[in-house]
Amino acid sequence: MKGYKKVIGYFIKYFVLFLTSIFVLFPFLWTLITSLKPEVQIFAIPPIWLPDPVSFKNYIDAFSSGDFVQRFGNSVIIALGSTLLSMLIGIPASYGFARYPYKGSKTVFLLITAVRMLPVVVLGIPMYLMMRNLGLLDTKLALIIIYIPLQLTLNIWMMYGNFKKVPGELIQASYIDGLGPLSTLVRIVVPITVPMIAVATVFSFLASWNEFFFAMLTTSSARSMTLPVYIAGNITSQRIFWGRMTAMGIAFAIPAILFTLIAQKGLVRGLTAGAVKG
Amino acid sequence: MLSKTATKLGSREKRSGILMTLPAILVMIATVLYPIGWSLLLSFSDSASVFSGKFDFIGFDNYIKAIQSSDFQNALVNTLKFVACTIVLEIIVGFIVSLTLNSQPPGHKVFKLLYTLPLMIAPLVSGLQWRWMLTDQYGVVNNILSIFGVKGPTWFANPTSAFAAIILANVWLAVPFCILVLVSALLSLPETLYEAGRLDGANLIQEFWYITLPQLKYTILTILVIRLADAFRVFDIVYVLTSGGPGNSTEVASTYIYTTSFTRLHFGVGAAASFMSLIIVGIACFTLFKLMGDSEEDVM
Repeated sequence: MKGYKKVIGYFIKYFVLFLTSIFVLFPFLWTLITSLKPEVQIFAIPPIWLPDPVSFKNYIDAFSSGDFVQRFGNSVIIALGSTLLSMLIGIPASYGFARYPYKGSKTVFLLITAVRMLPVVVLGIPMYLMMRNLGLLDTKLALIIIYIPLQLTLNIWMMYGNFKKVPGELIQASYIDGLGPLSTLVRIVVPITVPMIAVATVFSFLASWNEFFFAMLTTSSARSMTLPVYIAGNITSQRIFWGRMTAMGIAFAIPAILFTLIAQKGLVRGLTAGAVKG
Repeated sequence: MLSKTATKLGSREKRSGILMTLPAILVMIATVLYPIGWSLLLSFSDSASVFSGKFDFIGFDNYIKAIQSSDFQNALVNTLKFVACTIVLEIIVGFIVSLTLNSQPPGHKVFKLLYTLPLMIAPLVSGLQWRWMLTDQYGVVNNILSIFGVKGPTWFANPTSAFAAIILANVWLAVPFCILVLVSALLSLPETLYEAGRLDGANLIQEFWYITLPQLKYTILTILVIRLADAFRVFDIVYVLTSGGPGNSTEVASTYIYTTSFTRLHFGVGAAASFMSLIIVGIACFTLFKLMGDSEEDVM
């Protein structure tokens, strides 16, 4: 009787897990499969499950046009540039809020983390108009400037808890060794909090790499357009270029996936920063 | 605890706190506070101010125009419907999966890894994937349904199924977040509570209702705050999947404000509408935060 119950239990558990895994994995797999099909097979009814033969034509088309490669480059420069700057500003800020509170610092910290909740359209209108007035529309610089606060609100919040947990004795000891607060941060605290910093970096990178709304608003030409905007451009009023678009979508997702896997272990900790007690 | 450490800190420490946080504060003032303030002025000005460069104040006209516009009302109702549906689904699926994972059947770690995939995928790409899968004739979803003898809808031609499509694409993106956060919260629950429950003869449902759920109140509220704000500002998915159609049946606040401002060039009305959305999100998040504060006291 007991064994029988256990089998049923396992059956239900794996049923739930497999069903949800299919839901999670299938859209991505189907995009991948579509991207590896020649045009005729993409539009076959009923659908052909596996491409036969596997065709890399969509990828070759995408990468052989200078357009895609250039947008790829723009995305890399903007994502790395904004991530680097926001981490350089965010690490000391998060550490400062965590370890050196001053009058009103708690409120300022809460306000900065609340920026994460802001509907993007609230910023969209003024950002577009201000960039236009500054003559920065359609530049990589404009997007870097726009992404930095969006990343700061994330990374300051994510690293805060970890900086709070650094043992006070360690910091006291480094004072005794004659280090100031800033050099303590650089030489003592940063090295022991690298895992969390890596996670915050990954999330900051993703926020910039995957961003579409502001990129669509402010960029219009090859010199600054990022990949999401370019990929969405495959939807035209006449038709949608599914083969090319799925190939571009996969090529666009791969750097994000690789980058995230680097910090895989700490990923969940990053997500749950503040959400789980103890 | 906080005040104790604060008194221990010398003036040098206080100064370093200010110095370390100052760059971030200045950046936030320049790139968030200032633009928002500027946009607030715009929301009380004639839209032509944008082009003349001088604010031409017209009081609450833009707000009144937005509130009275049936398009904005429709967009707000749709947004609230969207937020409610997507969050309820996310939480339910999140709980079912995380409780299953928490019982740690062999291989649960592999599943946990698989669930992280959508976290890395751009909302835009999620929208494209679902648009492709739900396409009318070539769409794989309807073809799979037909294997089971179900005739799938023409997804984007019908208001209800178009709405279901944006919810599907959004749940796909957000459910992993709920799963992973809940799993790690479940892990942190003390086993002794459950032992006590079992001694009292609690069954699985009672265990969930009387032990797990109350203990997770803080986590659930945090998920709600984050997901509510994210769902409320949904843009990418709607933009690629339906562009608000058919008709305006899937138009949400963000897409309405976008079209009003950037297609019709009514920047003043758009700004006013954006601040009304901000107020709604603000009130909702504030209420949840309040509840969170209370739950913190409960737990302690």
